Amino acid sequence: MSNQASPTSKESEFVGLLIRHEPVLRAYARTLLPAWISVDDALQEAGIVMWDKFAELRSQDGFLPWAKVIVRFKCLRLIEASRKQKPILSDAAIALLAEETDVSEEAYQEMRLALDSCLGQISQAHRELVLAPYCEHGKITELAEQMGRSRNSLYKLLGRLRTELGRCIESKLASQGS
Amino acid sequence: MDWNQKIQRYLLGEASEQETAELTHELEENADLRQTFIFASHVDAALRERSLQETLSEVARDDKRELPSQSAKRPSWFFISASAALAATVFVAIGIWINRPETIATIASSENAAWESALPTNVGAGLTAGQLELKRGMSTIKFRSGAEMLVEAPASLRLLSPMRVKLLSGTAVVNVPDSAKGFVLETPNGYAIDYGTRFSVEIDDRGDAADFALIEGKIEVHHAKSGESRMLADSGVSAVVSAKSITVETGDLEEQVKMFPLTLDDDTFRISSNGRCRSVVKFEKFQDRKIFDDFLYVKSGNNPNWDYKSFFQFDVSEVDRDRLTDARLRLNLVPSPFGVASLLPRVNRFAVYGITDTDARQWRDGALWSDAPTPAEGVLLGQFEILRSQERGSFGISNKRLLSFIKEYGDAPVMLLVMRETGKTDGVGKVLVHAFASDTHPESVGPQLELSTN
Repeated sequence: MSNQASPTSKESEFVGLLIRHEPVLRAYARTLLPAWISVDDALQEAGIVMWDKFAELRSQDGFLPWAKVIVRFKCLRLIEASRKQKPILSDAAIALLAEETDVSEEAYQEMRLALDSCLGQISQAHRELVLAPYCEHGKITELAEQMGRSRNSLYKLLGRLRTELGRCIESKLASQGS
Repeated sequence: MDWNQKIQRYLLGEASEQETAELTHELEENADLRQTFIFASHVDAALRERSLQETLSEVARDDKRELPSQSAKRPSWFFISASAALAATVFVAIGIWINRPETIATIASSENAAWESALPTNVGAGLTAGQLELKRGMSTIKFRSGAEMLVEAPASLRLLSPMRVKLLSGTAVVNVPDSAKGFVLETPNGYAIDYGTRFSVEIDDRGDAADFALIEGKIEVHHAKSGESRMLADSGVSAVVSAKSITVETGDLEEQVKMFPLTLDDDTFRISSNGRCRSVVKFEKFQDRKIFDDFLYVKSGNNPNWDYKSFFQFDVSEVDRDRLTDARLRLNLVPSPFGVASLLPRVNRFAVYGITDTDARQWRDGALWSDAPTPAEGVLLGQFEILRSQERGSFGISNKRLLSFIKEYGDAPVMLLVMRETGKTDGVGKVLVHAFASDTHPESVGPQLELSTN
């Protein structure tokens, strides 16, 4: 096709960096934003800005901190817009979280690996429950009906399971001596 | 107050105004709780990634028909007109893969492959994110980004995106064209970023260490825990990423293998196996495939069903054996039709046996593994080594034992057997099936016995 050009080195460098750091940037936006839908919007908008400004980036090592600034800016804009729709943490609390989030690509990947292994330790039913909130809307309600429990009690169980998974991950990471 | 529960309710979008206010107040005051919150939100992000991967593969299974047209319309990774359009396209691609099922790869070829997966696994099948288990055979997966991955059974892998795959166990060779620069291959303890290249990777049996070997180009290998990374840029160099560390071995490319002279002295002559050369695979059902015609395969690996050995016969009845002073067996290594040029271990050792058992010395057309000679039916005559970076060249043995064997057993055609010794104990070398030319190979000469007389 005539509109397919081979990538320049700048473009492939950008895509490589972006793909490599995208999971961490997404997790960072998740810390700042109250809902996944706005996380996806923030990343999409931030990506366009990143490409526009990519020429200003001096070195590959600087990509993640640089990209985080752009993502943070987009997140703050989205928070402003969605404050009326749902309860959100204060600007002060969010600013502190943004300052104190310091996760590297490696640390995030390692956490993901630990999560996989922790997910292998819980029952199939519990596993299905912890993965359910990201599926289509109403999945939790549907599961509650199937299990004959109230929606509220299922959310409680879900909260406990997520906390336990967090502890399992922490202990795995700690036992690896990092 | 159970702050963990409150954080989870907030992240799940269930917190009331009152709960959010309480959480806000505590977060503003309590730095430890902020760390708890940050960690919980990152676990949430990882859980979502996991959940999407699993849901996508389920949806794909229920909704296969829609996929081909979708993928045909999808812009390529580098659909470029203006800079903004590039950024938008990149993000559309990422965004779509996050939001709905997306064909990220197709199965380009299969060699007797048996898959175990919720994903469709016939050749040409579109694959969405999800897990695949290759139980036997080999298969090539072509990612939408252009990257190709040849996988050999037994292997377990998780397709994550057109630019990202995780190999959980097994062996693979990855080929990344320019369009897929930045392709990421994850392993249990680290990952490699590929800058346009070909490399192999093997996960050891405990699912711990990943051994990367660069074939050509450039890859950057990362160790997850330490954050350490190493750039591999010389072909033949390899790096092992284990739970503890990255160890880099420089490619030892000096000639370890004695190359054979191309011209012969006046008093040296060659005898070919004259069609009596054959290789057999232990998994006998695979034997009748036509790939067996032109090649002599030799392999030993972790799965003994896929072991190959080759044997050939030379008629030396016309030779005055009393006058023989030297004997040399020459085998011509050719690129394997499995498309794998250079793999682990770095040095591959082969053994040549002279068959002494009267019955095993008989030539049988169409012999299967169970009819073929075994080392127990003969004597070890010698060994030779091939570096994994080599895909062509002459190899073999030349020594007194071969000479005396020919003198002693030359009254009837002499039968020689070649087996690979490395691969099994090292837990490496699963992908590569070494191939030597047979007598019918279109380019190279089959097994030759070179004899000198005084």
